[in-house]
Amino acid sequence: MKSYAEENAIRQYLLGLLVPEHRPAVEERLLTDDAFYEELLIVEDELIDQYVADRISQAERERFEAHFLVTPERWKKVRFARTLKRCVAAGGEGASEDAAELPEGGDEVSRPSSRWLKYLSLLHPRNYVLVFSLATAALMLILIGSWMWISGPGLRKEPARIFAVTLSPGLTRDGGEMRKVRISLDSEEVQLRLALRGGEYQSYSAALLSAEGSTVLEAEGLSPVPSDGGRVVVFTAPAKALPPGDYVLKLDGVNVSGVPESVGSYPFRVLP
Amino acid sequence: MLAGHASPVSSQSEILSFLLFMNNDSVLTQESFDALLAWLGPEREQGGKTYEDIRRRLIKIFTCRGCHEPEVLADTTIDRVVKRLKEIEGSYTGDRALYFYGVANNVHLEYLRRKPAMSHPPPKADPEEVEREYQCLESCLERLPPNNRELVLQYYQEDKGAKIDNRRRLAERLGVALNALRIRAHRIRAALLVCMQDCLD
Repeated sequence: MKSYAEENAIRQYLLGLLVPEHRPAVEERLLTDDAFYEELLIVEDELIDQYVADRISQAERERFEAHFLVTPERWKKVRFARTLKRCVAAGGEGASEDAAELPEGGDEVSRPSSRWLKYLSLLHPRNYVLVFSLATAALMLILIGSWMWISGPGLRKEPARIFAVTLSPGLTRDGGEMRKVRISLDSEEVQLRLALRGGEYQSYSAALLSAEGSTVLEAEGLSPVPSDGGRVVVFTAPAKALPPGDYVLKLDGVNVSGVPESVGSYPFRVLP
Repeated sequence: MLAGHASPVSSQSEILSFLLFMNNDSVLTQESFDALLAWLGPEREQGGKTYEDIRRRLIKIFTCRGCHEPEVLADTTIDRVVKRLKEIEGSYTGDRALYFYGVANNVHLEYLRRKPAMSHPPPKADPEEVEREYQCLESCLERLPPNNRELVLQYYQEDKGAKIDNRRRLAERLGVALNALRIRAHRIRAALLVCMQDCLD
């Protein structure tokens, strides 16, 4: 029932980035469609979790702080997400300690008292699999963490699994080859960096269209950023919204009167 | 005093009435509030639930539009609908929530014309308060049925690399679709938030 386009539209709406023409449709559904309202609450939680975990693009972080965090209620949700994250992490620690039968660590005083050991001891026998899985996951984390540490500071600071590609406008019309992109399987987000040619606008809106011409994603309020001596507009899409196929990103610049003007089309192909 | 005027109602509706009457700016009387509930549903209880749903969603809409006083704007919207109720109750057809939406748009335009309110400063992160929140949430987690507790612990694991796979495996183990799991986790989370707030209050 839920589509990526719908989920993304809600995300854009929450960040105040949805194009104004589409806002009434979203809001009318919010008022009349219980499932859609619940979906918005879920996407809101997911957005907050990504913010708290620092797994959100810089542009979205700025929108989140300027537009999303406007009420004490929303701040409460952010604080709750942080606390939940901490509780869940404490649960994971408990599991690994239990499974490995380690003695209590000397830093227990500085850490919150964990009651997860007790939970785990109460679990049904079939859930020893869970205990084992948690211990394995913790061990994997330690190994991955060690590897990242050894691999150097650049890797340690790298944001989680963002695939970036720079696109140029209208290559096919110039007789060039359509840009082909193979998104790595573990990517969560794809950053489409749209190279700008000629004059600049303060703000841009973009629409990602499928080969059939249907809109997959939209964003507005995008700002140009410096890149390799030029300027690009960054359009971020969830990797799962880009299955193999042909796409066109249409970019509009918003002039001083607030009227959108076409800047260019950025065709590309996602390879399997 | 209010209870003396009110017809027998559910405690939920009484609380709503009380809150509305406590608002000095509100134009609502018990009579007009009863009329609103009657317009929103054939049974008073149903009308009360629809009223709550509409108010909650209006607050969400105003929040998503970046308004700093979403509750005030939602209540203003409701007051205006109540004022017009006599004119429209016989003639309006269609989803009543959408009538509120039309009025909300006007209220929002007026809000934008006013001097914008000061934004709420971020709450201070008092370490004691943070610790109390943690203790409260931990206590709320303890009170969950074991299967829900396990679900939350598994679902919200912060293991970036394997998070999607974890959730997929969890959904398979529970025999539900991934989206059904997502909804279930969200509902437990929402209950935890309410529980934590109650614990803190």
